[in-house]
Amino acid sequence: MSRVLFRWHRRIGITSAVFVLVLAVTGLLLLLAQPLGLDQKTIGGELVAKSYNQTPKSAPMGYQLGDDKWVVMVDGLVYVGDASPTALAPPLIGASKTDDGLIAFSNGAQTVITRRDGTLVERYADSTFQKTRAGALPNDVREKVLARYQGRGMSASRILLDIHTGRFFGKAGPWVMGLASALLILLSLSGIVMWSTAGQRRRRRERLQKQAANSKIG
Amino acid sequence: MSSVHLYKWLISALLASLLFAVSVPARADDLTAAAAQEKLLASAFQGAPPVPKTLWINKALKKDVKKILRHDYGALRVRYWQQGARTVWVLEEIGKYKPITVGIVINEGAIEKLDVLAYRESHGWEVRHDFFTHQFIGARLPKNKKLDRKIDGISGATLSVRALKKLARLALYFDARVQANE
Repeated sequence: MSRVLFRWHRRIGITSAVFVLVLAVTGLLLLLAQPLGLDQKTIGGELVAKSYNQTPKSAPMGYQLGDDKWVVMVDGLVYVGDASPTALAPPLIGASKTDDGLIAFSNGAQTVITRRDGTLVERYADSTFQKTRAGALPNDVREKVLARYQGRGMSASRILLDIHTGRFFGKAGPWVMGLASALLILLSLSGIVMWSTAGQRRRRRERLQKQAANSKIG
Repeated sequence: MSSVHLYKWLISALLASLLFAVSVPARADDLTAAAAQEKLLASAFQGAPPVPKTLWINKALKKDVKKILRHDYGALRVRYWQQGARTVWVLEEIGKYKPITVGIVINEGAIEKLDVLAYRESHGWEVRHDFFTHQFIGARLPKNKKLDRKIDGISGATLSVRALKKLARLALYFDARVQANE
Protein backbone atom coordinates (compact mmCIF):
# COMPACT_ATOMS: atom_id res chain seq x y z
CA MET A 1 0.00 0.00 0.00
CA SER A 2 2.71 2.46 1.06
CA ARG A 3 4.77 1.58 -2.03
CA VAL A 4 1.78 2.31 -4.30
CA LEU A 5 1.13 5.58 -2.49
CA PHE A 6 4.79 6.57 -2.85
CA ARG A 7 4.75 5.74 -6.56
CA TRP A 8 1.64 7.89 -7.12
CA HIS A 9 3.01 10.67 -4.91
CA ARG A 10 6.11 10.76 -7.14
CA ARG A 11 4.04 10.74 -10.36
CA ILE A 12 1.76 13.52 -9.15
CA GLY A 13 4.79 15.51 -7.98
CA ILE A 14 6.52 15.31 -11.35
CA THR A 15 3.32 16.11 -13.28
CA SER A 16 2.43 19.12 -11.16
CA ALA A 17 6.01 20.46 -10.96
CA VAL A 18 5.59 22.48 -14.18
CA PHE A 19 2.31 23.99 -12.97
CA VAL A 20 3.75 24.73 -9.53
CA LEU A 21 6.61 26.59 -11.18
CA VAL A 22 4.23 28.57 -13.42
CA LEU A 23 1.92 29.37 -10.48
CA ALA A 24 4.79 30.31 -8.16
CA VAL A 25 6.69 32.46 -10.66
CA THR A 26 3.60 34.29 -11.95
CA GLY A 27 2.26 34.66 -8.39
CA LEU A 28 5.53 36.16 -7.20
CA LEU A 29 5.69 38.54 -10.17
CA LEU A 30 2.08 39.58 -9.56
CA LEU A 31 2.91 40.37 -5.94
CA LEU A 32 5.81 42.53 -7.12
CA ALA A 33 3.93 43.97 -10.12
CA GLN A 34 3.84 47.50 -8.77
CA PRO A 35 7.47 47.91 -7.67
CA LEU A 36 8.60 46.28 -10.92
CA GLY A 37 6.28 48.55 -12.94
CA LEU A 38 4.60 45.57 -14.62
CA ASP A 39 1.20 47.30 -14.51
CA GLN A 40 2.63 50.10 -16.68
CA LYS A 41 4.48 47.89 -19.19
CA THR A 42 2.68 46.50 -22.21
CA ILE A 43 3.42 43.37 -24.16
CA GLY A 44 2.30 43.24 -27.78
CA GLY A 45 2.71 40.86 -30.66
CA GLU A 46 0.56 38.58 -32.71
CA LEU A 47 0.09 35.97 -29.96
CA VAL A 48 -1.18 38.57 -27.48
CA ALA A 49 -3.53 40.15 -30.06
CA LYS A 50 -4.85 36.71 -30.98
CA SER A 51 -5.28 35.60 -27.37
CA TYR A 52 -7.14 38.73 -26.37
CA ASN A 53 -9.23 39.09 -29.53
CA GLN A 54 -8.41 42.80 -29.68
CA THR A 55 -11.21 44.01 -31.87
CA PRO A 56 -12.43 47.57 -31.27
CA LYS A 57 -15.85 48.12 -29.69
CA SER A 58 -16.54 51.13 -31.90
CA ALA A 59 -15.72 51.86 -35.53
CA PRO A 60 -12.67 54.08 -36.13
CA MET A 61 -13.55 57.71 -36.91
CA GLY A 62 -11.34 60.61 -37.76
CA TYR A 63 -10.61 64.07 -39.09
CA GLN A 64 -8.43 64.97 -42.06
CA LEU A 65 -5.99 67.84 -41.61
CA GLY A 66 -5.22 69.27 -45.04
CA ASP A 67 -2.79 66.97 -46.89
CA ASP A 68 -2.96 63.27 -46.06
CA LYS A 69 -2.73 63.72 -42.30
CA TRP A 70 -5.46 62.01 -40.29
CA VAL A 71 -6.37 62.13 -36.61
CA VAL A 72 -8.19 58.88 -35.89
CA MET A 73 -9.92 57.67 -32.71
CA VAL A 74 -10.54 54.02 -31.87
CA ASP A 75 -12.09 53.19 -28.48
CA GLY A 76 -10.60 56.12 -26.58
CA LEU A 77 -7.18 56.01 -28.26
CA VAL A 78 -6.20 58.76 -30.71
CA TYR A 79 -3.71 57.96 -33.46
CA VAL A 80 -1.95 60.94 -35.03
CA GLY A 81 1.42 59.79 -36.30
CA ASP A 82 3.78 56.93 -35.61
CA ALA A 83 4.13 57.78 -31.91
CA SER A 84 2.11 55.89 -29.28
CA PRO A 85 -1.61 56.76 -29.37
CA THR A 86 -2.95 59.28 -26.85
CA ALA A 87 -5.75 58.23 -24.51
CA LEU A 88 -8.79 60.51 -24.61
CA ALA A 89 -12.31 59.80 -23.44
CA PRO A 90 -14.64 59.55 -26.47
CA PRO A 91 -16.10 61.18 -28.45
CA LEU A 92 -13.54 63.04 -30.52
CA ILE A 93 -15.35 66.22 -31.53
CA GLY A 94 -12.73 67.80 -33.78
CA ALA A 95 -9.10 68.23 -34.80
CA SER A 96 -7.12 71.12 -36.23
CA LYS A 97 -3.64 72.44 -36.88
CA THR A 98 -2.31 75.09 -34.51
CA ASP A 99 -0.46 78.22 -35.60
CA ASP A 100 2.86 76.74 -34.54
CA GLY A 101 2.43 73.65 -36.72
CA LEU A 102 1.21 71.36 -33.95
CA ILE A 103 -1.97 69.27 -33.98
CA ALA A 104 -4.86 69.84 -31.58
CA PHE A 105 -7.86 67.62 -30.95
CA SER A 106 -10.54 67.53 -28.29
CA ASN A 107 -13.45 65.64 -26.74
CA GLY A 108 -15.15 68.89 -25.75
CA ALA A 109 -13.80 68.72 -22.18
CA GLN A 110 -10.09 68.21 -22.71
CA THR A 111 -7.87 69.42 -25.53
CA VAL A 112 -4.73 67.57 -26.50
CA ILE A 113 -1.81 69.07 -28.41
CA THR A 114 0.63 66.75 -30.18
CA ARG A 115 3.45 67.04 -32.66
CA ARG A 116 2.85 65.86 -36.21
CA ASP A 117 4.28 62.46 -35.27
CA GLY A 118 1.78 62.15 -32.39
CA THR A 119 4.19 62.90 -29.51
CA LEU A 120 2.17 64.43 -26.69
CA VAL A 121 2.98 68.11 -26.15
CA GLU A 122 0.32 68.94 -23.58
CA ARG A 123 -3.25 68.27 -22.53
CA TYR A 124 -5.51 70.67 -20.68
CA ALA A 125 -9.10 71.14 -19.60
CA ASP A 126 -10.96 73.06 -22.30
CA SER A 127 -14.62 73.17 -23.26
CA THR A 128 -14.29 75.77 -26.03
CA PHE A 129 -12.83 73.62 -28.82
CA GLN A 130 -14.54 74.18 -32.16
CA LYS A 131 -16.57 71.15 -33.22
CA THR A 132 -15.80 70.00 -36.76
CA ARG A 133 -17.32 67.41 -39.07
CA ALA A 134 -15.69 63.98 -39.16
CA GLY A 135 -14.38 62.82 -42.54
CA ALA A 136 -14.94 59.52 -44.32
CA LEU A 137 -11.93 57.39 -43.42
CA PRO A 138 -10.09 55.97 -46.46
CA ASN A 139 -9.68 52.19 -46.30
CA ASP A 140 -5.88 52.26 -46.11
CA VAL A 141 -5.93 54.68 -43.12
CA ARG A 142 -8.61 52.58 -41.36
CA GLU A 143 -6.67 49.35 -41.90
CA LYS A 144 -3.39 50.87 -40.73
CA VAL A 145 -4.97 52.20 -37.54
CA LEU A 146 -6.80 48.93 -36.85
CA ALA A 147 -3.55 46.99 -37.32
CA ARG A 148 -1.87 49.28 -34.76
CA TYR A 149 -4.84 49.03 -32.40
CA GLN A 150 -4.83 45.24 -32.51
CA GLY A 151 -1.10 45.10 -32.03
CA ARG A 152 -0.97 47.54 -29.12
CA GLY A 153 -0.51 44.79 -26.55
CA MET A 154 -1.76 44.23 -23.04
CA SER A 155 -0.40 45.23 -19.68
CA ALA A 156 2.22 42.77 -18.43
CA SER A 157 0.44 42.32 -15.09
CA ARG A 158 -2.83 41.40 -16.85
CA ILE A 159 -1.05 38.80 -18.98
CA LEU A 160 0.67 37.41 -15.86
CA LEU A 161 -2.67 37.18 -14.05
CA ASP A 162 -4.22 35.37 -17.02
CA ILE A 163 -1.29 32.92 -17.17
CA HIS A 164 -1.63 32.43 -13.39
CA THR A 165 -5.33 31.54 -13.71
CA GLY A 166 -4.88 29.73 -17.04
CA ARG A 167 -7.21 32.07 -18.96
CA PHE A 168 -4.37 33.01 -21.32
CA PHE A 169 -4.45 29.49 -22.80
CA GLY A 170 -8.08 29.61 -23.90
CA LYS A 171 -11.13 27.86 -22.56
CA ALA A 172 -9.22 24.75 -21.45
CA GLY A 173 -6.64 26.84 -19.54
CA PRO A 174 -8.62 27.37 -16.31
CA TRP A 175 -9.55 23.65 -16.29
CA VAL A 176 -5.90 22.65 -16.65
CA MET A 177 -4.90 25.04 -13.86
CA GLY A 178 -7.80 23.72 -11.78
CA LEU A 179 -6.56 20.17 -12.37
CA ALA A 180 -3.05 21.28 -11.38
CA SER A 181 -4.46 22.71 -8.14
CA ALA A 182 -6.30 19.42 -7.50
CA LEU A 183 -3.03 17.55 -8.12
CA LEU A 184 -1.30 19.83 -5.61
CA ILE A 185 -3.97 19.04 -3.02
CA LEU A 186 -3.52 15.30 -3.70
CA LEU A 187 0.26 15.75 -3.44
CA SER A 188 -0.05 17.42 -0.05
CA LEU A 189 -2.51 14.78 1.22
CA SER A 190 -0.44 11.83 -0.01
CA GLY A 191 2.67 13.46 1.53
CA ILE A 192 0.91 13.81 4.90
CA VAL A 193 -0.37 10.21 4.77
CA MET A 194 3.12 8.91 3.87
CA TRP A 195 4.75 10.94 6.63
CA SER A 196 2.30 9.77 9.29
CA THR A 197 2.42 6.07 8.25
CA ALA A 198 6.23 6.21 8.09
CA GLY A 199 6.24 7.63 11.62
CA GLN A 200 3.93 4.89 12.86
CA ARG A 201 6.13 2.22 11.23
CA ARG A 202 9.28 3.72 12.74
CA ARG A 203 7.74 3.84 16.20
CA ARG A 204 6.53 0.25 15.90
CA ARG A 205 9.98 -0.89 14.74
CA GLU A 206 11.63 0.94 17.65
CA ARG A 207 9.16 -0.61 20.10
CA LEU A 208 9.82 -4.10 18.74
CA GLN A 209 13.59 -3.55 18.87
CA LYS A 210 13.26 -2.38 22.49
CA GLN A 211 11.15 -5.46 23.38
CA ALA A 212 13.71 -7.75 21.72
CA ALA A 213 16.57 -6.14 23.61
CA ASN A 214 14.66 -6.42 26.92
CA SER A 215 13.88 -10.11 26.36
CA LYS A 216 17.62 -10.78 25.63
CA ILE A 217 18.64 -9.10 28.88
CA GLY A 218 15.89 -11.02 30.76
CA MET B 1 -42.22 40.34 -31.26
CA SER B 2 -41.06 36.77 -30.56
CA SER B 3 -39.40 35.92 -27.27
CA VAL B 4 -36.05 35.37 -29.06
CA HIS B 5 -36.20 38.88 -30.57
CA LEU B 6 -37.15 40.38 -27.24
CA TYR B 7 -34.25 38.54 -25.57
CA LYS B 8 -31.79 39.80 -28.25
CA TRP B 9 -33.14 43.32 -27.93
CA LEU B 10 -32.76 43.21 -24.13
CA ILE B 11 -29.20 41.93 -24.38
CA SER B 12 -28.29 44.67 -26.95
CA ALA B 13 -29.86 47.34 -24.74
CA LEU B 14 -27.94 46.01 -21.73
CA LEU B 15 -24.64 46.00 -23.64
CA ALA B 16 -25.28 49.50 -25.04
CA SER B 17 -26.06 50.84 -21.57
CA LEU B 18 -22.93 49.16 -20.22
CA LEU B 19 -20.81 50.79 -22.95
CA PHE B 20 -22.47 54.12 -22.20
CA ALA B 21 -21.78 53.69 -18.50
CA VAL B 22 -18.15 52.86 -19.21
CA SER B 23 -17.43 55.69 -21.68
CA VAL B 24 -19.46 58.54 -20.24
CA PRO B 25 -17.93 58.86 -16.76
CA ALA B 26 -14.43 59.32 -18.22
CA ARG B 27 -15.55 62.37 -20.21
CA ALA B 28 -17.70 63.48 -17.29
CA ASP B 29 -14.53 63.53 -15.17
CA ASP B 30 -12.85 65.71 -17.81
CA LEU B 31 -15.85 68.08 -17.72
CA THR B 32 -15.74 68.14 -13.91
CA ALA B 33 -12.02 68.96 -14.07
CA ALA B 34 -12.67 71.76 -16.60
CA ALA B 35 -15.39 73.32 -14.44
CA ALA B 36 -13.33 72.98 -11.25
CA GLN B 37 -10.30 74.49 -12.99
CA GLU B 38 -12.36 77.50 -14.06
CA LYS B 39 -13.55 77.95 -10.46
CA LEU B 40 -10.03 77.65 -9.08
CA LEU B 41 -8.66 80.20 -11.56
CA ALA B 42 -11.50 82.61 -10.81
CA SER B 43 -10.82 82.39 -7.07
CA ALA B 44 -7.03 82.62 -7.46
CA PHE B 45 -7.12 85.70 -9.70
CA GLN B 46 -10.28 87.39 -8.39
CA GLY B 47 -12.43 86.52 -11.39
CA ALA B 48 -10.04 87.57 -14.18
CA PRO B 49 -7.49 84.84 -14.90
CA PRO B 50 -4.55 85.90 -17.07
CA VAL B 51 -3.76 84.33 -20.45
CA PRO B 52 -2.13 80.92 -19.86
CA LYS B 53 1.59 80.48 -20.50
CA THR B 54 3.54 77.31 -21.20
CA LEU B 55 6.70 75.93 -19.66
CA TRP B 56 8.65 73.58 -21.92
CA ILE B 57 10.15 70.57 -20.17
CA ASN B 58 13.69 70.89 -21.47
CA LYS B 59 16.59 68.54 -20.77
CA ALA B 60 17.55 70.18 -17.46
CA LEU B 61 13.96 70.21 -16.19
CA LYS B 62 13.32 66.68 -17.41
CA LYS B 63 15.99 65.28 -15.09
CA ASP B 64 14.60 67.03 -12.00
CA VAL B 65 11.00 66.22 -12.94
CA LYS B 66 11.92 62.55 -13.23
CA LYS B 67 13.52 62.72 -9.80
CA ILE B 68 10.31 64.15 -8.31
CA LEU B 69 7.78 61.95 -10.13
CA ARG B 70 10.03 58.88 -10.42
CA HIS B 71 9.01 58.70 -14.07
CA ASP B 72 9.01 61.01 -17.10
CA TYR B 73 6.44 63.80 -17.17
CA GLY B 74 4.73 62.33 -20.23
CA ALA B 75 4.26 65.61 -22.11
CA LEU B 76 6.64 68.17 -23.60
CA ARG B 77 5.20 71.26 -21.96
CA VAL B 78 2.98 72.31 -19.10
CA ARG B 79 0.37 75.08 -19.01
CA TYR B 80 0.21 77.60 -16.17
CA TRP B 81 -1.30 80.94 -15.25
CA GLN B 82 0.74 83.73 -13.71
CA GLN B 83 0.09 87.13 -12.23
CA GLY B 84 3.07 88.61 -10.39
CA ALA B 85 4.34 86.16 -7.77
CA ARG B 86 1.23 83.99 -7.99
CA THR B 87 1.09 81.00 -10.33
CA VAL B 88 -1.54 78.32 -10.85
CA TRP B 89 -0.70 74.82 -12.07
CA VAL B 90 -3.08 72.08 -13.14
CA LEU B 91 -1.23 68.79 -13.07
CA GLU B 92 -2.09 65.12 -13.31
CA GLU B 93 -0.57 62.03 -11.74
CA ILE B 94 -1.77 58.43 -11.67
CA GLY B 95 -2.80 57.27 -8.20
CA LYS B 96 -3.04 53.56 -8.79
CA TYR B 97 -4.62 53.15 -12.21
CA LYS B 98 -6.22 56.47 -13.15
CA PRO B 99 -5.02 60.08 -13.24
CA ILE B 100 -5.83 62.49 -10.42
CA THR B 101 -6.16 66.10 -11.63
CA VAL B 102 -4.92 68.62 -9.10
CA GLY B 103 -4.95 72.44 -9.18
CA ILE B 104 -2.24 74.15 -7.15
CA VAL B 105 -2.02 77.87 -6.42
CA ILE B 106 1.43 79.12 -5.43
CA ASN B 107 2.16 82.56 -4.08
CA GLU B 108 5.69 83.76 -3.38
CA GLY B 109 7.08 80.23 -3.41
CA ALA B 110 4.55 78.72 -1.01
CA ILE B 111 1.39 76.73 -1.69
CA GLU B 112 -1.66 78.91 -1.16
CA LYS B 113 -4.25 76.35 -2.20
CA LEU B 114 -4.34 72.75 -3.38
CA ASP B 115 -7.56 71.37 -4.85
CA VAL B 116 -8.30 67.94 -6.29
CA LEU B 117 -10.15 68.89 -9.49
CA ALA B 118 -10.99 65.36 -10.64
CA TYR B 119 -10.59 62.07 -8.82
CA ARG B 120 -11.08 59.02 -11.00
CA GLU B 121 -9.91 56.13 -8.77
CA SER B 122 -12.39 53.97 -6.89
CA HIS B 123 -10.40 54.09 -3.63
CA GLY B 124 -8.59 56.81 -1.75
CA TRP B 125 -11.06 59.63 -2.49
CA GLU B 126 -10.46 60.99 1.04
CA VAL B 127 -7.56 63.02 -0.42
CA ARG B 128 -10.16 65.38 -1.93
CA HIS B 129 -11.21 66.61 1.50
CA ASP B 130 -10.03 69.87 3.04
CA PHE B 131 -8.73 68.13 6.19
CA PHE B 132 -6.09 66.56 3.96
CA THR B 133 -5.42 69.27 1.35
CA HIS B 134 -5.10 71.98 4.04
CA GLN B 135 -1.88 70.31 5.16
CA PHE B 136 -0.20 71.59 1.99
CA ILE B 137 -1.00 75.27 2.63
CA GLY B 138 2.22 77.19 3.23
CA ALA B 139 4.44 74.31 2.07
CA ARG B 140 7.68 75.30 0.35
CA LEU B 141 10.32 73.40 -1.58
CA PRO B 142 13.82 73.60 -0.14
CA LYS B 143 16.91 72.76 -2.20
CA ASN B 144 16.53 69.02 -1.60
CA LYS B 145 13.25 69.21 -3.59
CA LYS B 146 11.24 67.69 -0.74
CA LEU B 147 8.34 69.45 0.99
CA ASP B 148 9.44 71.43 4.07
CA ARG B 149 6.76 69.73 6.19
CA LYS B 150 5.39 66.32 6.95
CA ILE B 151 2.10 65.48 5.26
CA ASP B 152 0.09 62.98 7.30
CA GLY B 153 -1.09 60.04 5.21
CA ILE B 154 -4.51 58.43 5.07
CA SER B 155 -4.75 54.69 5.54
CA GLY B 156 -6.19 53.08 2.42
CA ALA B 157 -5.21 56.05 0.27
CA THR B 158 -1.42 55.67 0.32
CA LEU B 159 -0.94 55.89 -3.45
CA SER B 160 -3.25 58.90 -3.84
CA VAL B 161 -1.48 60.68 -0.97
CA ARG B 162 1.86 59.92 -2.62
CA ALA B 163 0.56 61.25 -5.97
CA LEU B 164 -0.61 64.52 -4.37
CA LYS B 165 2.69 65.00 -2.57
CA LYS B 166 4.57 64.50 -5.83
CA LEU B 167 2.34 67.02 -7.63
CA ALA B 168 2.77 69.58 -4.84
CA ARG B 169 6.56 69.24 -5.13
CA LEU B 170 6.37 69.42 -8.93
CA ALA B 171 4.24 72.58 -8.91
CA LEU B 172 6.62 74.25 -6.43
CA TYR B 173 9.56 73.21 -8.60
CA PHE B 174 7.95 74.56 -11.78
CA ASP B 175 7.04 77.79 -9.97
CA ALA B 176 10.64 78.24 -8.81
CA ARG B 177 11.88 77.74 -12.38
CA VAL B 178 9.37 80.22 -13.80
CA GLN B 179 10.16 82.85 -11.14
CA ALA B 180 13.91 82.34 -11.63
CA ASN B 181 13.56 82.89 -15.40
CA GLU B 182 11.81 86.27 -14.92
